[in-house]
Amino acid sequence: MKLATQVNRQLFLSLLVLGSLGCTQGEPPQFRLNMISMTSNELDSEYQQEIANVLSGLFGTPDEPFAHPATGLNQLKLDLASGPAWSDKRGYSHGLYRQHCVHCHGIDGDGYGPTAKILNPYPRDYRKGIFKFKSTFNAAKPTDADLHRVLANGVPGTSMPSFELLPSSEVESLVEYVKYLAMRGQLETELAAYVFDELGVEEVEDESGTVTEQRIPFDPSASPDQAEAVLDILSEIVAGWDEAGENVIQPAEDAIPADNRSDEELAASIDRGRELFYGVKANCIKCHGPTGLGDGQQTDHNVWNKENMDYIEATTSMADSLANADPETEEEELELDREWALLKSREEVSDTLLPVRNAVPRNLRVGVYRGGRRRIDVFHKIHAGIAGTPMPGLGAAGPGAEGTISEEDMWSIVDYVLNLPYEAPSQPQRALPTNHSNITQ
Amino acid sequence: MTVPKSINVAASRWPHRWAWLLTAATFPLIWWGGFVTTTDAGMAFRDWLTSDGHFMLTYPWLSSTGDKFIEHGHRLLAVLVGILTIGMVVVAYRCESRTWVRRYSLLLLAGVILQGVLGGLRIVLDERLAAMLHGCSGPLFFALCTAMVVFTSRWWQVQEVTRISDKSHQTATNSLARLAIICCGLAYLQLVVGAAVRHARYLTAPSAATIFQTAIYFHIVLAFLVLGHVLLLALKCFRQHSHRGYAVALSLLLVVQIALGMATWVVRFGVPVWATNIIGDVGLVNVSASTSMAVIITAHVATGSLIVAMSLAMALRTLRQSSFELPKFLSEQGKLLEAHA
Repeated sequence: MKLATQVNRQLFLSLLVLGSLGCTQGEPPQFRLNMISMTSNELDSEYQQEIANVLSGLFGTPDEPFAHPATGLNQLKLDLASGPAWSDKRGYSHGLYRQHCVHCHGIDGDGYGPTAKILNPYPRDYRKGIFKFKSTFNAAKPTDADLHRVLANGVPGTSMPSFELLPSSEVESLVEYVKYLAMRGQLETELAAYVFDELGVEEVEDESGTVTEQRIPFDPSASPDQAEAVLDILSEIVAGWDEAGENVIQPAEDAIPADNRSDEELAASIDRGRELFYGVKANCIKCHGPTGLGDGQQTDHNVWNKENMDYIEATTSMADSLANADPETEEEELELDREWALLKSREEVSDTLLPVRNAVPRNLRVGVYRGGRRRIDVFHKIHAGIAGTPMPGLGAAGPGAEGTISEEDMWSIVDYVLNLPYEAPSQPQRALPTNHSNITQ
Repeated sequence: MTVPKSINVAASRWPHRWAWLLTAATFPLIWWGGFVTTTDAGMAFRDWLTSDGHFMLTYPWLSSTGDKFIEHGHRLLAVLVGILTIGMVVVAYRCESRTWVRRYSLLLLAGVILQGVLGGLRIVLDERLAAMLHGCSGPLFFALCTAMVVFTSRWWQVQEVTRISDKSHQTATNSLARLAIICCGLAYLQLVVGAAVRHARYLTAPSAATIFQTAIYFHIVLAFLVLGHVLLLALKCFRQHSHRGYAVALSLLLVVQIALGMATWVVRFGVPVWATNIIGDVGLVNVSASTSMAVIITAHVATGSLIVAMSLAMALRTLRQSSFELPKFLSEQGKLLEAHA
């Protein structure tokens, strides 16, 4: 009986622990604010909450996204991609983003999912609306086809997998959701700047002539001017996405090399490409190194790391200047107190940022091309550069503009780059046609 | 530790056979459960005990595809294991003379019911913590089934604990038992941390990144600890000429598991940069939801369960040969068990 009593007691305790499982059920996930934007624009917690409310009204929540008519996004696709992962009775998967993407790209698309810190390179932060691998001009947004290709092919040499086994409709839903997160992130940054520039406190004179300071709330639902401003900002952001199709780089037909070139023609093109690679105009060796190993300059940063780095440096510099501050008046003391509070919040944000990494130029001798290994992919990179990175473009900056070099020359660089893995760095090929037998197509 | 002196060597072999059957049926269930998490099919159905409104046994499983096929297959196999566990209780009560073994079979039954309830809670609450607990208690149940195999084995029944006059030999045996217990404990801890690694990547709370990073750090540290302890255990087994087969098997499993762990990292996250600095850029693209990715990752999970089970079997066997001064409350339990036997 004693034993039975003891066993019963232990069983009861275990059931109690299990029963408490229901009490630990998590809250639905919420979008988090871009604290770099918020603190850089010195927004207090009230303005932060107001911005969060506006974003929630315009874009919804991670479980219930809203495709605002101004965005042109497809609500059905967003519904499939959002929320917790589950399957309906017809077998269609829901919660695609939560299932496939959130562990790296994060619930906000900020590139800081649970696994981000152990990955190199870091997952993409969508919130700037900047994407590296696309077919459009440098400053333009990617097309849906560009995003679809990245999802379908993955990014070789990184942790980004290929989702080619998913049905095309699911990939389309994910593309829509990525655009949704990007637009939302861009709007958040713009709203923070708008609130800093336009709102804050205003001086109000009452009937007795006393002037007091009054905080201007950010509430577009109560202020038609604010509502119009917000929609204008959103429209401009959306326009960038809508115009992506018009910004696709179309190579000139007469500049595209023929498929049936002879070995001598190919060799000549490769030689021309080598000349340009080492030349002053393209100056590829500055970053990719004198033998294309990626060992040129390696100290630059891409825009995502640069933002973090600048933020940390500005915070450190602010700390130094505040440490030496010597207020003389009461007003200056109050201002200093406010700055110390701002510094504290900046330091808290700095502590959460991923360690800053340099943008290391690609080793061109291993045949690993993150943005795609088709000739047209390499052409796009040389023409437009890689958006968000120090890789510059040599082609026109936009439709109708002039580039640094001609398209024929760009195709020659493509030929040279694609030939580099077959060219031993210790035995640089002489620029003579007799070497063409060593070239593999 | 004292045991009854009279051993019935003509005892029925059915409890042992049935224990083997149950254990052999549970291992595929561990695999299949691993597949459910790897393919994130846990919420393929939002209902439980039914499956999309169908009674579990009449759901058109063979006509289903994708995550519904995987999740429902897991449910069906779990039903089979549940039935086999009930069978274990029946066989134990009919064929087993030792009362504590019969009661242990009841513990197994409670375990499988608890495991089913945890699985159901995961669905009903859509709670990932329940999924993680389910993933930790499943291998524990598998290990307990393995223990039943050991308890019902002829080896266990003919072992008699004698007071060995050679004190150093007894000390060495006791030390082996202690090390085996530590190995088992570390292996299970590593499994739990591995479950945290698997499930933490889906968390969306602000603390998710910290939880995952902590889990993966400890998972790597514990891997070295487990490997070190198992190799030390193997060394001691060879020195004492006891349980060498088990030691070799466990060591080999560890080596396979470490290799699978590295493979799991590569198929999930790609080749790490420090490795590409040695071997060069690889240009690997992992295909999400591919069979090879799912098999490698799930093999790592299943081998972990096998290591826990095998190390528990080894710990029990070495304990059987040891003579410890038990803490008072345990020795009282032992006396109670004897009184009820």
